[in-house]
Amino acid sequence: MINLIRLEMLKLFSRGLAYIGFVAIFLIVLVIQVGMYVEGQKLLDFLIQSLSEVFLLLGKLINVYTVTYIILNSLWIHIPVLVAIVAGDMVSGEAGRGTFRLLLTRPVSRTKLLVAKFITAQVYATMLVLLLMAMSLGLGRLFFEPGDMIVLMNTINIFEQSDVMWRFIASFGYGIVSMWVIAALAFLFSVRATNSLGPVISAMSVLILFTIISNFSVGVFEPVKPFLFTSYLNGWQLFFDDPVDYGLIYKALGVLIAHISVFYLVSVLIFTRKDITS
Amino acid sequence: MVQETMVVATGLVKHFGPQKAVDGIDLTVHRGDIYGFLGPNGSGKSTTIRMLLSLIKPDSGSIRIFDLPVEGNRARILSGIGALIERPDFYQYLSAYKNLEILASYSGIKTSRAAIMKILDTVGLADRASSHVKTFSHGMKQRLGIAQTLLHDPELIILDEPVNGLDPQGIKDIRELILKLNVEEGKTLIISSHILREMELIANRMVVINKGKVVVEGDVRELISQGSRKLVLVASKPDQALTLLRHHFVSVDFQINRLDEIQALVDSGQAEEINSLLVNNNIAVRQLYMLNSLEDYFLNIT
Repeated sequence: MINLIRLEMLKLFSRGLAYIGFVAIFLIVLVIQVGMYVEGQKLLDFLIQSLSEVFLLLGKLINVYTVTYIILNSLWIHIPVLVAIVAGDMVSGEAGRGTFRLLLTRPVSRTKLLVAKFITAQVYATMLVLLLMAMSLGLGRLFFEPGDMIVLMNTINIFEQSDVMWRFIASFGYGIVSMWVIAALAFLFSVRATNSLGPVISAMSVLILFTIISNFSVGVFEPVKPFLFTSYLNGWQLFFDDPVDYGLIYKALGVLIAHISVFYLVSVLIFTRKDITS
Repeated sequence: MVQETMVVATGLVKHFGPQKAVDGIDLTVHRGDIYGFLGPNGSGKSTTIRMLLSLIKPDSGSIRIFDLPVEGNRARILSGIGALIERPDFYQYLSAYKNLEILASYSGIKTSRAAIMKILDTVGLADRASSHVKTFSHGMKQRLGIAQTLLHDPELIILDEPVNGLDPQGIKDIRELILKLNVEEGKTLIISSHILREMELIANRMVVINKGKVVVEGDVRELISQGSRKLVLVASKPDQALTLLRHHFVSVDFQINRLDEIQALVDSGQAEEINSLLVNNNIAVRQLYMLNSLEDYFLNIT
Protein backbone atom coordinates (compact mmCIF):
# COMPACT_ATOMS: atom_id res chain seq x y z
CA MET A 1 0.00 0.00 0.00
CA ILE A 2 2.82 2.41 0.89
CA ASN A 3 4.37 1.69 -2.50
CA LEU A 4 1.06 2.47 -4.24
CA ILE A 5 0.72 5.75 -2.33
CA ARG A 6 4.33 6.61 -3.24
CA LEU A 7 3.54 5.97 -6.92
CA GLU A 8 0.40 8.10 -6.77
CA MET A 9 2.31 10.94 -5.08
CA LEU A 10 5.06 10.66 -7.68
CA LYS A 11 2.55 10.92 -10.52
CA LEU A 12 0.71 13.78 -8.84
CA PHE A 13 3.79 15.88 -8.25
CA SER A 14 5.22 15.19 -11.70
CA ARG A 15 2.43 17.32 -13.12
CA GLY A 16 1.91 21.05 -13.05
CA LEU A 17 -1.67 20.61 -11.82
CA ALA A 18 -0.54 19.84 -8.26
CA TYR A 19 1.40 23.08 -8.02
CA ILE A 20 -1.53 25.29 -9.04
CA GLY A 21 -2.90 24.95 -5.52
CA PHE A 22 0.36 25.90 -3.85
CA VAL A 23 0.88 28.92 -6.09
CA ALA A 24 -2.75 30.00 -5.60
CA ILE A 25 -2.47 29.78 -1.81
CA PHE A 26 0.77 31.73 -1.87
CA LEU A 27 -0.94 34.45 -3.91
CA ILE A 28 -4.17 34.44 -1.87
CA VAL A 29 -2.26 34.83 1.39
CA LEU A 30 0.12 37.40 -0.03
CA VAL A 31 -2.69 39.53 -1.47
CA ILE A 32 -4.63 39.49 1.82
CA GLN A 33 -1.51 40.29 3.84
CA VAL A 34 -0.41 43.15 1.58
CA GLY A 35 -3.97 44.48 1.53
CA MET A 36 -4.22 44.31 5.31
CA TYR A 37 -0.77 45.83 5.71
CA VAL A 38 -1.77 48.82 3.61
CA GLU A 39 -5.45 49.28 4.48
CA GLY A 40 -6.04 46.91 7.40
CA GLN A 41 -6.18 49.53 10.14
CA LYS A 42 -8.88 51.51 8.29
CA LEU A 43 -10.91 48.32 7.82
CA LEU A 44 -10.61 47.39 11.48
CA ASP A 45 -11.46 50.92 12.60
CA PHE A 46 -14.64 50.67 10.55
CA LEU A 47 -15.53 47.28 12.01
CA ILE A 48 -15.01 48.30 15.60
CA GLN A 49 -16.16 51.91 15.44
CA SER A 50 -19.23 51.17 17.54
CA LEU A 51 -17.05 49.36 20.09
CA SER A 52 -14.63 52.26 20.31
CA GLU A 53 -17.42 54.41 21.60
CA VAL A 54 -17.88 52.07 24.57
CA PHE A 55 -14.40 50.51 25.06
CA LEU A 56 -10.94 51.91 25.09
CA LEU A 57 -8.97 49.66 22.72
CA LEU A 58 -5.20 49.94 23.02
CA GLY A 59 -2.38 48.17 21.20
CA LYS A 60 -1.92 46.87 17.63
CA LEU A 61 -5.12 45.09 16.73
CA ILE A 62 -3.97 44.53 13.17
CA ASN A 63 -1.44 41.84 13.91
CA VAL A 64 -0.43 38.49 12.48
CA TYR A 65 -3.22 36.68 14.33
CA THR A 66 -6.04 38.96 13.21
CA VAL A 67 -4.87 38.64 9.61
CA THR A 68 -4.52 34.86 9.92
CA TYR A 69 -8.09 34.74 11.22
CA ILE A 70 -9.23 36.63 8.12
CA ILE A 71 -7.20 34.29 5.90
CA LEU A 72 -8.80 31.25 7.56
CA ASN A 73 -12.11 32.44 6.13
CA SER A 74 -10.78 31.59 2.68
CA LEU A 75 -11.32 27.95 3.64
CA TRP A 76 -14.94 28.58 2.69
CA ILE A 77 -14.54 28.73 -1.08
CA HIS A 78 -10.97 29.17 -2.30
CA ILE A 79 -9.28 26.16 -0.79
CA PRO A 80 -12.17 23.78 -1.64
CA VAL A 81 -11.81 24.73 -5.31
CA LEU A 82 -8.09 23.96 -5.20
CA VAL A 83 -8.68 20.68 -3.39
CA ALA A 84 -11.43 19.65 -5.83
CA ILE A 85 -9.24 20.34 -8.87
CA VAL A 86 -6.77 17.68 -7.78
CA ALA A 87 -9.12 15.22 -6.04
CA GLY A 88 -11.53 15.40 -8.99
CA ASP A 89 -8.72 14.41 -11.33
CA MET A 90 -7.38 11.49 -9.31
CA VAL A 91 -9.51 8.81 -10.98
CA SER A 92 -11.18 10.59 -13.89
CA GLY A 93 -7.82 11.90 -15.08
CA GLU A 94 -6.51 8.36 -15.50
CA ALA A 95 -9.68 7.39 -17.35
CA GLY A 96 -9.48 10.45 -19.59
CA ARG A 97 -5.82 9.95 -20.40
CA GLY A 98 -6.38 6.24 -21.08
CA THR A 99 -3.81 5.17 -18.48
CA PHE A 100 -6.37 3.22 -16.47
CA ARG A 101 -6.11 0.42 -19.00
CA LEU A 102 -2.40 0.24 -18.28
CA LEU A 103 -2.90 0.17 -14.52
CA LEU A 104 -5.84 -2.19 -14.30
CA THR A 105 -4.31 -4.83 -16.54
CA ARG A 106 -1.59 -5.20 -13.91
CA PRO A 107 -1.99 -7.47 -10.90
CA VAL A 108 -2.92 -4.66 -8.54
CA SER A 109 -6.14 -4.82 -6.55
CA ARG A 110 -8.72 -2.26 -7.62
CA THR A 111 -9.61 -1.52 -4.02
CA LYS A 112 -5.99 -0.97 -3.02
CA LEU A 113 -5.43 1.27 -6.01
CA LEU A 114 -8.46 3.34 -5.09
CA VAL A 115 -7.41 3.58 -1.44
CA ALA A 116 -3.96 4.78 -2.55
CA LYS A 117 -5.54 7.44 -4.73
CA PHE A 118 -7.96 8.45 -1.99
CA ILE A 119 -5.17 8.81 0.56
CA THR A 120 -3.08 10.79 -1.94
CA ALA A 121 -5.96 13.20 -2.48
CA GLN A 122 -6.34 13.62 1.29
CA VAL A 123 -2.61 14.14 1.75
CA TYR A 124 -2.75 16.83 -0.92
CA ALA A 125 -5.67 18.55 0.85
CA THR A 126 -3.70 18.39 4.09
CA MET A 127 -0.64 19.89 2.43
CA LEU A 128 -2.69 22.80 1.10
CA VAL A 129 -4.08 23.63 4.54
CA LEU A 130 -0.66 23.27 6.16
CA LEU A 131 0.79 25.59 3.55
CA LEU A 132 -2.01 28.04 4.27
CA MET A 133 -1.09 27.86 7.94
CA ALA A 134 2.65 28.25 7.33
CA MET A 135 2.09 31.15 4.97
CA SER A 136 -0.40 32.90 7.24
CA LEU A 137 1.54 32.60 10.47
CA GLY A 138 5.06 32.49 8.96
CA LEU A 139 4.98 34.91 6.04
CA GLY A 140 2.63 37.06 8.08
CA ARG A 141 5.42 37.76 10.57
CA LEU A 142 7.24 39.65 7.79
CA PHE A 143 4.37 42.13 7.65
CA PHE A 144 2.87 42.09 11.13
CA GLU A 145 3.84 41.81 14.76
CA PRO A 146 2.14 39.32 17.07
CA GLY A 147 -0.32 40.68 19.58
CA ASP A 148 -3.64 40.21 21.31
CA MET A 149 -6.48 39.24 19.07
CA ILE A 150 -10.04 40.50 18.78
CA VAL A 151 -12.70 38.24 17.34
CA LEU A 152 -16.12 39.57 16.41
CA MET A 153 -18.52 36.72 16.01
CA ASN A 154 -21.77 36.40 17.95
CA THR A 155 -20.00 38.19 20.74
CA ILE A 156 -16.73 40.04 21.25
CA ASN A 157 -13.82 37.84 22.29
CA ILE A 158 -10.44 39.26 23.04
CA PHE A 159 -7.64 36.72 23.39
CA GLU A 160 -4.26 37.38 24.84
CA GLN A 161 -1.29 36.70 22.59
CA SER A 162 -0.26 33.68 24.70
CA ASP A 163 -3.74 32.15 24.31
CA VAL A 164 -3.95 32.35 20.53
CA MET A 165 -1.50 29.95 18.91
CA TRP A 166 -3.13 26.71 20.11
CA ARG A 167 -6.48 27.97 18.81
CA PHE A 168 -4.98 28.49 15.38
CA ILE A 169 -3.33 25.06 15.36
CA ALA A 170 -6.66 23.46 16.35
CA SER A 171 -8.53 25.55 13.76
CA PHE A 172 -6.20 24.57 10.95
CA GLY A 173 -6.48 20.96 12.12
CA TYR A 174 -10.26 21.24 11.88
CA GLY A 175 -9.81 22.92 8.49
CA ILE A 176 -7.88 19.87 7.30
CA VAL A 177 -10.83 17.59 8.18
CA SER A 178 -13.18 20.01 6.37
CA MET A 179 -11.04 19.83 3.26
CA TRP A 180 -10.95 16.03 3.47
CA VAL A 181 -14.74 16.11 3.01
CA ILE A 182 -14.39 18.24 -0.11
CA ALA A 183 -11.63 15.95 -1.41
CA ALA A 184 -13.79 12.87 -0.72
CA LEU A 185 -16.77 14.45 -2.50
CA ALA A 186 -14.74 15.41 -5.59
CA PHE A 187 -13.15 11.96 -5.50
CA LEU A 188 -16.57 10.31 -5.52
CA PHE A 189 -17.55 12.23 -8.64
CA SER A 190 -14.14 11.44 -10.12
CA VAL A 191 -14.77 7.69 -9.87
CA ARG A 192 -17.71 7.95 -12.25
CA ALA A 193 -16.30 10.49 -14.69
CA THR A 194 -13.94 10.24 -17.64
CA ASN A 195 -12.83 13.87 -17.62
CA SER A 196 -11.47 16.04 -14.85
CA LEU A 197 -13.73 19.04 -15.27
CA GLY A 198 -16.99 17.25 -14.49
CA PRO A 199 -16.04 16.15 -10.95
CA VAL A 200 -14.71 19.63 -10.06
CA ILE A 201 -17.87 21.36 -11.28
CA SER A 202 -20.09 18.74 -9.65
CA ALA A 203 -18.30 19.00 -6.29
CA MET A 204 -18.42 22.79 -6.37
CA SER A 205 -22.10 22.75 -7.33
CA VAL A 206 -22.91 20.49 -4.37
CA LEU A 207 -20.80 22.68 -2.09
CA ILE A 208 -22.54 25.87 -3.22
CA LEU A 209 -26.03 24.34 -3.08
CA PHE A 210 -25.52 22.84 0.37
CA THR A 211 -23.90 26.05 1.64
CA ILE A 212 -26.96 28.01 0.53
CA ILE A 213 -29.27 25.53 2.26
CA SER A 214 -27.08 25.57 5.38
CA ASN A 215 -27.16 29.35 5.61
CA PHE A 216 -30.72 29.96 4.39
CA SER A 217 -32.99 30.62 7.34
CA VAL A 218 -36.11 29.03 5.91
CA GLY A 219 -38.08 26.55 7.99
CA VAL A 220 -38.33 23.93 5.28
CA PHE A 221 -34.54 23.44 5.28
CA GLU A 222 -34.16 23.27 9.05
CA PRO A 223 -34.63 19.46 9.38
CA VAL A 224 -31.88 18.70 6.84
CA LYS A 225 -29.33 21.26 7.98
CA PRO A 226 -27.84 19.10 10.78
CA PHE A 227 -27.05 16.40 8.21
CA LEU A 228 -25.30 18.61 5.66
CA PHE A 229 -21.50 18.76 5.82
CA THR A 230 -21.62 22.41 4.80
CA SER A 231 -23.27 23.24 8.14
CA TYR A 232 -19.97 22.28 9.81
CA LEU A 233 -17.28 23.56 7.41
CA ASN A 234 -16.94 26.76 9.43
CA GLY A 235 -16.65 24.79 12.69
CA TRP A 236 -13.05 25.95 13.05
CA GLN A 237 -14.48 29.22 14.36
CA LEU A 238 -15.65 27.33 17.46
CA PHE A 239 -12.05 27.38 18.70
CA PHE A 240 -12.36 31.16 18.98
CA ASP A 241 -15.29 30.95 21.39
CA ASP A 242 -14.69 31.40 25.07
CA PRO A 243 -15.17 28.92 26.56
CA VAL A 244 -14.68 26.46 23.70
CA ASP A 245 -17.71 24.18 23.25
CA TYR A 246 -15.93 20.86 22.70
CA GLY A 247 -19.21 18.95 22.56
CA LEU A 248 -20.23 20.93 19.52
CA ILE A 249 -16.80 20.46 17.95
CA TYR A 250 -16.87 16.68 18.43
CA LYS A 251 -20.36 16.51 16.94
CA ALA A 252 -19.25 18.59 13.94
CA LEU A 253 -16.17 16.44 13.42
CA GLY A 254 -18.34 13.32 13.69
CA VAL A 255 -20.64 14.55 10.92
CA LEU A 256 -17.67 15.47 8.70
CA ILE A 257 -15.96 12.11 9.25
CA ALA A 258 -19.25 10.31 8.57
CA HIS A 259 -19.48 12.14 5.24
CA ILE A 260 -15.88 11.22 4.36
CA SER A 261 -16.61 7.56 5.18
CA VAL A 262 -19.80 7.44 3.12
CA PHE A 263 -18.18 9.18 0.12
CA TYR A 264 -15.24 6.78 0.32
CA LEU A 265 -17.38 3.62 0.63
CA VAL A 266 -19.61 4.63 -2.27
CA SER A 267 -16.49 5.36 -4.35
CA VAL A 268 -15.12 1.87 -3.64
CA LEU A 269 -18.48 0.30 -4.39
CA ILE A 270 -18.71 2.04 -7.76
CA PHE A 271 -15.09 1.55 -8.73
CA THR A 272 -14.80 -2.14 -7.95
CA ARG A 273 -17.89 -2.91 -10.02
CA LYS A 274 -17.14 -0.53 -12.83
CA ASP A 275 -16.51 -1.75 -16.38
CA ILE A 276 -13.37 -0.08 -17.73
CA THR A 277 -14.42 0.95 -21.21
CA SER A 278 -12.35 4.14 -21.51
CA MET B 1 -0.48 -34.56 -29.32
CA VAL B 2 -2.67 -32.76 -26.81
CA GLN B 3 -1.85 -29.04 -26.76
CA GLU B 4 -1.82 -27.15 -23.49
CA THR B 5 -4.60 -24.58 -23.39
CA MET B 6 -3.88 -21.15 -21.98
CA VAL B 7 -7.20 -19.41 -22.47
CA VAL B 8 -10.61 -20.99 -22.70
CA ALA B 9 -13.65 -18.74 -22.96
CA THR B 10 -17.11 -20.23 -23.12
CA GLY B 11 -20.40 -18.55 -23.94
CA LEU B 12 -19.32 -14.99 -23.20
CA VAL B 13 -22.17 -12.50 -23.31
CA LYS B 14 -22.01 -8.76 -22.63
CA HIS B 15 -24.66 -6.08 -22.98
CA PHE B 16 -24.14 -2.33 -22.87
CA GLY B 17 -27.64 -1.11 -22.17
CA PRO B 18 -29.96 -2.72 -24.69
CA GLN B 19 -27.11 -3.41 -27.12
CA LYS B 20 -25.60 -6.89 -27.14
CA ALA B 21 -21.88 -6.30 -27.74
CA VAL B 22 -20.80 -9.90 -27.32
CA ASP B 23 -23.16 -12.78 -27.99
CA GLY B 24 -21.98 -16.20 -26.84
CA ILE B 25 -18.31 -16.12 -27.83
CA ASP B 26 -16.22 -19.28 -27.35
CA LEU B 27 -12.50 -19.36 -27.96
CA THR B 28 -9.49 -21.49 -27.12
CA VAL B 29 -5.87 -20.36 -27.18
CA HIS B 30 -3.06 -22.90 -26.94
CA ARG B 31 0.40 -22.36 -25.48
CA GLY B 32 2.74 -21.05 -28.17
CA ASP B 33 -0.04 -19.72 -30.40
CA ILE B 34 -0.11 -16.41 -32.15
CA TYR B 35 -3.84 -16.25 -32.01
CA GLY B 36 -5.49 -13.78 -34.36
CA PHE B 37 -8.66 -12.16 -33.15
CA LEU B 38 -10.36 -10.82 -36.22
CA GLY B 39 -13.46 -8.85 -36.89
CA PRO B 40 -14.66 -5.57 -38.35
CA ASN B 41 -14.78 -2.46 -36.17
CA GLY B 42 -17.51 -2.77 -33.56
CA SER B 43 -17.67 -6.55 -33.81
CA GLY B 44 -16.93 -7.08 -30.12
CA LYS B 45 -13.17 -7.74 -30.22
CA SER B 46 -12.15 -5.13 -27.66
CA THR B 47 -15.03 -6.00 -25.34
CA THR B 48 -14.01 -9.66 -25.41
CA ILE B 49 -10.37 -8.82 -24.75
CA ARG B 50 -11.37 -6.54 -21.87
CA MET B 51 -13.38 -9.42 -20.42
CA LEU B 52 -10.30 -11.68 -20.64
CA LEU B 53 -8.39 -9.02 -18.68
CA SER B 54 -11.11 -8.47 -16.04
CA LEU B 55 -11.62 -4.88 -17.16
CA ILE B 56 -15.20 -5.71 -18.05
CA LYS B 57 -17.36 -8.24 -16.26
CA PRO B 58 -19.28 -10.57 -18.58
CA ASP B 59 -23.04 -10.85 -18.10
CA SER B 60 -22.69 -14.60 -18.53
CA GLY B 61 -20.18 -17.19 -19.65
CA SER B 62 -16.90 -18.31 -18.19
CA ILE B 63 -13.21 -17.60 -18.73
CA ARG B 64 -10.32 -19.79 -17.64
CA ILE B 65 -6.77 -18.58 -18.07
CA PHE B 66 -3.76 -20.67 -17.04
CA ASP B 67 -6.36 -23.25 -15.99
CA LEU B 68 -7.81 -20.87 -13.38
CA PRO B 69 -11.23 -19.23 -13.47
CA VAL B 70 -10.84 -15.45 -13.89
CA GLU B 71 -13.43 -14.83 -11.21
CA GLY B 72 -11.56 -14.77 -7.91
CA ASN B 73 -8.08 -15.13 -9.46
CA ARG B 74 -7.70 -11.76 -11.14
CA ALA B 75 -4.33 -10.82 -9.60
CA ARG B 76 -2.79 -14.27 -10.10
CA ILE B 77 -3.86 -14.39 -13.71
CA LEU B 78 -2.84 -10.83 -14.54
CA SER B 79 0.63 -11.46 -13.13
CA GLY B 80 1.12 -13.83 -16.08
CA ILE B 81 -0.32 -11.53 -18.74
CA GLY B 82 1.07 -8.48 -20.48
CA ALA B 83 -1.54 -6.42 -22.30
CA LEU B 84 -1.80 -3.43 -24.55
CA ILE B 85 -5.39 -2.33 -25.05
CA GLU B 86 -6.23 -0.05 -27.96
CA ARG B 87 -4.20 3.17 -27.95
CA PRO B 88 -0.82 3.14 -26.20
CA ASP B 89 -1.60 5.86 -23.63
CA PHE B 90 1.11 6.69 -21.12
CA TYR B 91 1.97 9.38 -18.61
CA GLN B 92 2.99 11.92 -21.22
CA TYR B 93 4.84 14.11 -18.75
CA LEU B 94 7.18 11.28 -17.72
CA SER B 95 10.04 9.66 -19.61
CA ALA B 96 9.75 6.26 -21.28
CA TYR B 97 12.00 4.83 -18.58
CA LYS B 98 9.99 6.34 -15.73
CA ASN B 99 6.73 5.08 -17.25
CA LEU B 100 8.08 1.55 -17.34
CA GLU B 101 9.51 1.84 -13.84
CA ILE B 102 6.15 2.99 -12.47
CA LEU B 103 4.23 0.28 -14.31
CA ALA B 104 6.64 -2.37 -13.04
CA SER B 105 6.03 -1.11 -9.50
CA TYR B 106 2.27 -1.43 -10.01
CA SER B 107 2.92 -5.05 -10.96
CA GLY B 108 4.62 -5.47 -7.61
CA ILE B 109 7.98 -6.34 -9.08
CA LYS B 110 11.35 -4.74 -8.47
CA THR B 111 12.97 -4.15 -11.81
CA SER B 112 16.57 -3.07 -12.18
CA ARG B 113 17.59 -0.25 -14.47
CA ALA B 114 19.43 -2.80 -16.62
CA ALA B 115 16.27 -4.91 -17.02
CA ILE B 116 14.19 -1.91 -18.11
CA MET B 117 16.90 -0.78 -20.51
CA LYS B 118 17.04 -4.29 -21.97
CA ILE B 119 13.29 -4.21 -22.62
CA LEU B 120 13.58 -0.77 -24.18
CA ASP B 121 16.38 -2.13 -26.33
CA THR B 122 14.18 -5.05 -27.42
CA VAL B 123 11.62 -2.58 -28.80
CA GLY B 124 14.28 -0.25 -30.20
CA LEU B 125 13.75 2.62 -27.77
CA ALA B 126 16.86 2.37 -25.59
CA ASP B 127 18.28 5.60 -26.98
CA ARG B 128 15.03 7.44 -26.11
CA ALA B 129 14.72 6.10 -22.57
CA SER B 130 14.98 9.53 -20.96
CA SER B 131 12.74 11.34 -23.45
CA HIS B 132 9.27 12.40 -22.34
CA VAL B 133 6.57 10.24 -23.92
CA LYS B 134 4.83 13.39 -25.21
CA THR B 135 7.69 13.73 -27.72
CA PHE B 136 7.12 10.21 -29.12
CA SER B 137 5.54 9.39 -32.46
CA HIS B 138 2.59 7.01 -32.55
CA GLY B 139 4.85 4.19 -33.67
CA MET B 140 7.24 4.78 -30.78
CA LYS B 141 4.35 4.81 -28.31
CA GLN B 142 3.12 1.57 -29.80
CA ARG B 143 6.56 0.02 -29.27
CA LEU B 144 6.65 1.37 -25.73
CA GLY B 145 3.21 -0.18 -25.30
CA ILE B 146 4.64 -3.55 -26.22
CA ALA B 147 7.63 -2.91 -23.94
CA GLN B 148 5.35 -2.44 -20.94
CA THR B 149 3.75 -5.81 -21.64
CA LEU B 150 7.17 -7.46 -21.18
CA LEU B 151 8.05 -5.92 -17.81
CA HIS B 152 7.01 -8.88 -15.70
CA ASP B 153 8.06 -11.52 -18.25
CA PRO B 154 4.49 -12.76 -18.87
CA GLU B 155 3.60 -16.08 -20.47
CA LEU B 156 0.72 -14.55 -22.40
CA ILE B 157 0.71 -11.22 -24.26
CA ILE B 158 -2.52 -9.64 -25.45
CA LEU B 159 -2.26 -6.88 -28.03
CA ASP B 160 -5.39 -5.07 -29.12
CA GLU B 161 -4.95 -3.53 -32.58
CA PRO B 162 -1.16 -3.17 -32.24
CA VAL B 163 -0.57 -1.88 -35.77
CA ASN B 164 -3.42 0.62 -35.84
CA GLY B 165 -2.33 3.95 -37.28
CA LEU B 166 1.22 2.86 -38.06
CA ASP B 167 3.08 3.52 -41.29
CA PRO B 168 4.32 0.52 -43.34
CA GLN B 169 7.74 0.52 -41.67
CA GLY B 170 6.09 0.71 -38.23
CA ILE B 171 3.81 -2.21 -39.11
CA LYS B 172 6.80 -4.25 -40.28
CA ASP B 173 8.71 -3.45 -37.06
CA ILE B 174 5.81 -4.53 -34.86
CA ARG B 175 5.25 -7.67 -36.93
CA GLU B 176 8.90 -8.66 -36.56
CA LEU B 177 8.79 -7.94 -32.86
CA ILE B 178 5.71 -10.12 -32.38
CA LEU B 179 7.30 -13.00 -34.28
CA LYS B 180 10.50 -12.60 -32.27
CA LEU B 181 8.56 -12.73 -28.98
CA ASN B 182 6.80 -15.87 -30.13
CA VAL B 183 9.69 -17.72 -31.74
CA GLU B 184 12.66 -16.64 -29.62
CA GLU B 185 11.03 -16.05 -26.24
CA GLY B 186 8.24 -18.59 -26.46
CA LYS B 187 5.46 -16.14 -25.65
CA THR B 188 1.86 -16.92 -26.47
CA LEU B 189 0.15 -13.96 -28.10
CA ILE B 190 -3.44 -12.95 -28.72
CA ILE B 191 -3.61 -10.21 -31.31
CA SER B 192 -6.77 -8.46 -32.32
CA SER B 193 -6.91 -6.63 -35.58
CA HIS B 194 -9.09 -5.73 -38.47
CA ILE B 195 -6.02 -5.62 -40.74
CA LEU B 196 -6.28 -9.10 -42.17
CA ARG B 197 -3.07 -9.13 -44.13
CA GLU B 198 -1.16 -8.76 -40.88
CA MET B 199 -2.96 -11.68 -39.27
CA GLU B 200 -2.23 -13.79 -42.30
CA LEU B 201 1.46 -13.03 -41.93
CA ILE B 202 1.83 -13.72 -38.22
CA ALA B 203 -1.05 -15.74 -36.76
CA ASN B 204 -1.13 -19.54 -36.73
CA ARG B 205 -4.67 -19.77 -35.35
CA MET B 206 -7.53 -17.33 -35.38
CA VAL B 207 -11.10 -16.62 -34.54
CA VAL B 208 -13.29 -14.43 -36.70
CA ILE B 209 -16.11 -12.60 -34.98
CA ASN B 210 -18.86 -10.48 -36.40
CA LYS B 211 -21.71 -8.70 -34.62
CA GLY B 212 -20.55 -10.20 -31.33
CA LYS B 213 -20.64 -13.82 -32.54
CA VAL B 214 -17.95 -16.27 -33.55
CA VAL B 215 -18.09 -16.88 -37.28
CA VAL B 216 -15.26 -19.38 -37.38
CA GLU B 217 -12.24 -20.46 -35.33
CA GLY B 218 -9.31 -22.58 -36.41
CA ASP B 219 -5.92 -22.93 -38.09
CA VAL B 220 -5.22 -19.96 -40.37
CA ARG B 221 -3.89 -22.01 -43.28
CA GLU B 222 -6.78 -24.46 -43.15
CA LEU B 223 -9.30 -21.66 -43.04
CA ILE B 224 -7.77 -19.90 -46.01
CA SER B 225 -7.61 -23.02 -48.15
CA GLN B 226 -11.15 -24.21 -47.55
CA GLY B 227 -14.34 -23.20 -49.35
CA SER B 228 -14.75 -20.81 -52.25
CA ARG B 229 -11.92 -18.64 -53.46
CA LYS B 230 -11.80 -15.75 -55.85
CA LEU B 231 -10.68 -16.50 -59.42
CA VAL B 232 -9.27 -13.76 -61.62
CA LEU B 233 -8.80 -14.33 -65.29
CA VAL B 234 -7.66 -12.27 -68.28
CA ALA B 235 -8.74 -13.62 -71.65
CA SER B 236 -8.10 -12.53 -75.25
CA LYS B 237 -11.82 -11.99 -75.93
CA PRO B 238 -13.25 -10.94 -72.59
CA ASP B 239 -16.89 -10.39 -73.61
CA GLN B 240 -17.06 -13.68 -75.48
CA ALA B 241 -15.35 -15.46 -72.58
CA LEU B 242 -17.83 -13.98 -70.12
CA THR B 243 -20.84 -15.13 -72.14
CA LEU B 244 -19.38 -18.61 -72.49
CA LEU B 245 -18.59 -18.93 -68.82
CA ARG B 246 -22.02 -17.69 -67.72
CA HIS B 247 -23.63 -20.18 -70.08
CA HIS B 248 -21.58 -23.13 -68.80
CA PHE B 249 -21.40 -22.32 -65.10
CA VAL B 250 -24.92 -21.14 -64.38
CA SER B 251 -24.51 -21.19 -60.60
CA VAL B 252 -21.35 -19.04 -60.61
CA ASP B 253 -21.61 -15.26 -60.63
CA PHE B 254 -18.99 -14.07 -63.15
CA GLN B 255 -18.29 -10.33 -63.26
CA ILE B 256 -16.03 -8.27 -65.49
CA ASN B 257 -14.26 -5.18 -64.23
CA ARG B 258 -12.93 -2.05 -65.96
CA LEU B 259 -9.62 -3.75 -66.66
CA ASP B 260 -11.47 -6.52 -68.49
CA GLU B 261 -10.60 -8.98 -65.75
CA ILE B 262 -13.22 -11.63 -65.17
CA GLN B 263 -13.75 -12.45 -61.51
CA ALA B 264 -15.86 -15.01 -59.67
CA LEU B 265 -16.00 -17.03 -56.49
CA VAL B 266 -15.38 -20.62 -57.47
CA ASP B 267 -14.81 -23.92 -55.71
CA SER B 268 -11.35 -25.43 -55.77
CA GLY B 269 -10.99 -27.55 -58.92
CA GLN B 270 -13.26 -25.37 -61.06
CA ALA B 271 -10.34 -23.24 -62.29
CA GLU B 272 -9.01 -26.10 -64.39
CA GLU B 273 -12.43 -26.63 -65.99
CA ILE B 274 -12.72 -22.92 -66.78
CA ASN B 275 -9.30 -22.88 -68.41
CA SER B 276 -10.08 -25.92 -70.57
CA LEU B 277 -13.44 -24.51 -71.64
CA LEU B 278 -11.93 -21.23 -72.83
CA VAL B 279 -8.97 -22.85 -74.61
CA ASN B 280 -11.25 -25.38 -76.33
CA ASN B 281 -13.32 -22.46 -77.60
CA ASN B 282 -10.27 -20.68 -79.05
CA ILE B 283 -10.09 -18.02 -76.37
CA ALA B 284 -6.55 -17.47 -75.20
CA VAL B 285 -6.13 -17.34 -71.44
CA ARG B 286 -3.45 -14.77 -70.68
CA GLN B 287 -3.71 -14.88 -66.90
CA LEU B 288 -5.59 -17.08 -64.49
CA TYR B 289 -4.97 -17.06 -60.77
CA MET B 290 -6.74 -17.62 -57.49
CA LEU B 291 -6.76 -15.05 -54.74
CA ASN B 292 -5.78 -16.96 -51.70
CA SER B 293 -5.80 -14.48 -48.86
CA LEU B 294 -7.35 -14.16 -45.50
CA GLU B 295 -8.94 -10.96 -46.67
CA ASP B 296 -10.93 -12.81 -49.32
CA TYR B 297 -11.85 -15.43 -46.82
CA PHE B 298 -12.90 -12.85 -44.32
CA LEU B 299 -14.97 -10.91 -46.82
CA ASN B 300 -16.71 -14.11 -47.84
CA ILE B 301 -17.74 -15.13 -44.38
CA THR B 302 -18.66 -11.80 -42.74
